[in-house]
Amino acid sequence: MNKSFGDYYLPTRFQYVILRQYFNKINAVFNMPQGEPVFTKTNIRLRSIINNLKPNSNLILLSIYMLPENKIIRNKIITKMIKKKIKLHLVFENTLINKAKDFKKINEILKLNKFSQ
Amino acid sequence: MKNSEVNFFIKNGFFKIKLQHNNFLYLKNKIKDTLKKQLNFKKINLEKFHKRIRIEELNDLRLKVFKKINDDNKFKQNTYESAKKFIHETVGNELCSSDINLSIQLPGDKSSLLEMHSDFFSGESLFQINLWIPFVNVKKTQSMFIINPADSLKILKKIKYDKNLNFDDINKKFKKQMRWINLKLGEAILFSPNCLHGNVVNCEKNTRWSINIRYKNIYSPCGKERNEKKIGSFYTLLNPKAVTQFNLKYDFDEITN
Repeated sequence: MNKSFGDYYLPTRFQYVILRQYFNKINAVFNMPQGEPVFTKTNIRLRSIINNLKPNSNLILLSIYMLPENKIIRNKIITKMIKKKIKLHLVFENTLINKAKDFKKINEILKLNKFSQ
Repeated sequence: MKNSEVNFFIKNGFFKIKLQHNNFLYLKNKIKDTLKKQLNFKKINLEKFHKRIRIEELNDLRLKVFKKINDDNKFKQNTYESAKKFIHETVGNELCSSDINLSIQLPGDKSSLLEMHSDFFSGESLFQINLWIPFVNVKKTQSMFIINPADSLKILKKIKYDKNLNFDDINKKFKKQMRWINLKLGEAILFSPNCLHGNVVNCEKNTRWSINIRYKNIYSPCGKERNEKKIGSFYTLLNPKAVTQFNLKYDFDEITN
């Protein structure tokens, strides 16, 4: 993602460094991902990736703040991930989400952080 | 450039050029020599390279060659010289440029795809030109595709506003708008990376080798996003002219600010 996410901004080449390291850690093959278009908030790339993921796959995001800001889009994505039993890795938050109830906590975390801004 | 060539570019988003022979030869030989050293091969046949390497080994090799060609100033200079006249005609003659990207597409390889995109997806400038040079004859899926500016804009509007559309839908729906670039050895294209472009799985018999590099006028606007796609972190100064050098030396700008 070539724009800020949450309170973070990290040039993509360094995002790749972190992702590559994380992929190594979990013994997965790293292929250079394509980024989200900066001019839209529809999260088309993330939605396309999730659509193509096979059931029980892993999805690795640098941060929870890479999930859609728009709650409707976010909830659609979360529902799809739950349905496909996707394991969601959030690198900055050091969290692995693989249960339906944990997916629901995503909205809570995002909301709580909005309260404290 | 003739008016007809400018009009062709405006309508289609690209134009074909013939590269300066000696510069092109330098680039091709440099890639082949680097491969020989890396792999300890005596001969390199770029088109049939897929017969000598496994897909799993490809990205490591690509990164090694990428580093070698980007560390070599002569490579960068020869790339520029090979199309200098046309680059000047399109974005001016006081330039900065990106790294040189290297793409290797073995037949059937799904791991080296660059899906339909525009370079400003990642916040790059709207005012750059992309020089795309293949090192083998290319046609159809072995090549790259580009979508003309008018159709690109239609699709980009959908990408911007449609919350249900995904890239698979777009690829299927707009397949007919993809124009495949057929080029012979020694030819290249200059294209506006604002237009949607990319590649698909190479379904032809031969491997594709290509490089691409962005050129931008030093004084044309960068992208609006606050990101690293700026001079120093993404673009390198290529040929600052006397007045730029003068003002870099003396801080007149601090007086007027």
